[in-house]
Amino acid sequence: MDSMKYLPLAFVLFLFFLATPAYSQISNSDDFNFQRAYADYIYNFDIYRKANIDYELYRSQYLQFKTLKSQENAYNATLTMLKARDSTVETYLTAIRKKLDETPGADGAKKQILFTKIDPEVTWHIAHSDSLPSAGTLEDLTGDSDAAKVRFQSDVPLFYETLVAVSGGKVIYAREKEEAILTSLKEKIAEISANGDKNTQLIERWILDTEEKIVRSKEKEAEAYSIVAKASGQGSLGAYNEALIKLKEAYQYLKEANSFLEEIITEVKFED
Amino acid sequence: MENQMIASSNQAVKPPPQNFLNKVKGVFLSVAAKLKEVIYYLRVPSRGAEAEGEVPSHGISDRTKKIVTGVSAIFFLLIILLIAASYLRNMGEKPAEEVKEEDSLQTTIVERKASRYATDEAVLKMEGDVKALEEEMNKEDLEEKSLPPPNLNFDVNFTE
Repeated sequence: MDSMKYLPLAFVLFLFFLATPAYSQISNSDDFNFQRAYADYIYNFDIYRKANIDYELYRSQYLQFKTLKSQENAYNATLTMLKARDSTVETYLTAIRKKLDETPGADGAKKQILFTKIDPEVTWHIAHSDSLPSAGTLEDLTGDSDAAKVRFQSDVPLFYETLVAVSGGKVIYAREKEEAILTSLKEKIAEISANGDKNTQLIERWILDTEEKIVRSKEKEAEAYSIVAKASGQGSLGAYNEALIKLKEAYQYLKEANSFLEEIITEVKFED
Repeated sequence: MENQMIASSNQAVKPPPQNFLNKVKGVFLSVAAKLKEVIYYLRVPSRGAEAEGEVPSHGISDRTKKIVTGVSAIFFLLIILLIAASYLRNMGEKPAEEVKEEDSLQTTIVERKASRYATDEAVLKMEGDVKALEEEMNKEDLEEKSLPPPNLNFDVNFTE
């Protein structure tokens, strides 16, 4: 009978042990992928949009009535909006960081450089959000907002640099795969030439044409990175679009190189 | 009989545009002869008048000159047009020959024999990799359309 009184406690403990692994699984950093980061960003952006509508409403009421109540409402609405805005920037930075991290082909060294730029920005926006006073004046909030504005404007080139690195990663991924196929193909052609099974002169010329395409793709890629590196502040969007065009040209060269590879393989499969 | 045979074989060998040109040439020659006759006929009355002792102010009347000039101009134009038409007809026949060349190329490709590398494991793997990469590249969009920087309101102030 005595043991029966511990039964509810045992049941609660059992539930706790069941729940703990589930919680740790969710919070595990391995499971925090781009999809999760992107969902977080979209969720926070929605909250921000609603908070901004409230801010606009209470701000106009305050400017119209100038009462203590309207001032209090405007303060609370602005505080909520500023916090939501910080969370939006923070989750956006996390999302593009995760996207870059998960893009196969993205250059390792470039990734690390961008991570060291992104991480302090995430920390800054979290700290800024935490530092917003729950009570104070509207002027205090205006000053806090201006600080976030300056920070955001300085972050814009970083956003685009990261996006270019993501797109560039896709180009590098395709190029590396093509180079691997090309290496194997050259080995096979050397073998065919050594065996004397087939005249490989034509194929060797086609290999040179394919390599030329890859070289031109690399040149376009380099041009894209140099455009983004030179851009700053207001010109970031224009530079991003220009860089994207260069990367698309680089990708087009790789597509052409790939169709050349297909032709070469077909030629290998037939006798002279 | 032999001559007929030769003639018929020649007709068969001759390409149609040359035949056509010969006919056109014949027509032009007969027209030119008739034109000469007309000119001669027009000149005769003026000579007759001279013989009678009436000296005309002009050898041929202006109206006649204009008619003759107009008719000859029209004939020259017709000649040029016919030459151009026959030339264009010859030009039009050339692409048909090119098509024949393509057909012969296609048959040579079909007739090619597969090499011993057609079933080579490494070659088949490379072929599979290239095709897979092609599909991947066609599907991939370089632009991250879902991640543009957020459009945020930084205009926070409480002054009108």
